[in-house]
Amino acid sequence: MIRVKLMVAGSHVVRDADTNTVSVFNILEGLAVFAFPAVVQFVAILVMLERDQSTDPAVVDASFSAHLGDLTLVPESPVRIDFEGKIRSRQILRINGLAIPAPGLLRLTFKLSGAPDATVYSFDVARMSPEQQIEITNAQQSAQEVPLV
Amino acid sequence: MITWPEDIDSSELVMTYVAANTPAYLFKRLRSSDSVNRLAKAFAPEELGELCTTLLSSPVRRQVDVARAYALIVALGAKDDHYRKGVLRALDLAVLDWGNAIRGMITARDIPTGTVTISPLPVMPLPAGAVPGSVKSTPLPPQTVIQVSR
Repeated sequence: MIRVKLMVAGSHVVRDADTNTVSVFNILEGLAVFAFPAVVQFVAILVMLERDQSTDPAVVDASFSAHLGDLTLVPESPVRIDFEGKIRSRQILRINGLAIPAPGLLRLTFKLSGAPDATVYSFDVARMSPEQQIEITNAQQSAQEVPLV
Repeated sequence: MITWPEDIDSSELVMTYVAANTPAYLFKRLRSSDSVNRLAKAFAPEELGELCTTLLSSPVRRQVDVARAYALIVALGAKDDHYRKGVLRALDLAVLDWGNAIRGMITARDIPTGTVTISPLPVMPLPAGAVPGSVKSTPLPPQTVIQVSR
């Protein structure tokens, strides 16, 4: 049975062309947003899969979707996984400009076709606390006050 | 038609080929060869594949042709696997004793990696006062006002 070894989301997932290794940058554990609706410019998801070479197919269909509570942000999108005869495969999913209309629990769902369960990576999207807002406002003001040399 | 670059010395490649007693030895030595690295930088995967096929399809193959063909296969292995895997797979290496073994070594560590760019739905602001279901069960904490003295 094909299993998802890892699913993680960050701002960027990068594959090194020389070594064929992958790196995830700025892993998304939670988002604090100044105001809604908000747009997260870059979201990338890494899914690592493993199969049993003797029983599992080399090519399998899957789907990806994103929801905020009951609201669909990314409709179910087909993803084809090709193991190319190998035991392991990786899938990098990129979403360019994810619009988030309100605070809530953001669920990124990856489901292999025919699998009983889906793999879900979720994190909270919240409004910034007043302390955070003040901190950012002060930082912006300080930046403006820095004299140009 | 692509030809072997004149500025890449083949004598080192021939010596490595002649001295090799196993495919693993040949692969390891060629991978660290400066000539192979230069080949990998100078040519695109398709060009490396084309040159290798030209050398192997010749009815009379000299020692230097065989050494060059092995060097080209290893150079192909140094390219980004996303672009080279189709070329490497398509090469007919039956005429080389260790051709398939070296191809196997190159692809042994490959993990296929697919990339998909997904389009989200267009921005749809919620109606005033409406919130997604998940928020209803986790209301925001009451807002507190913090006065900052300057």
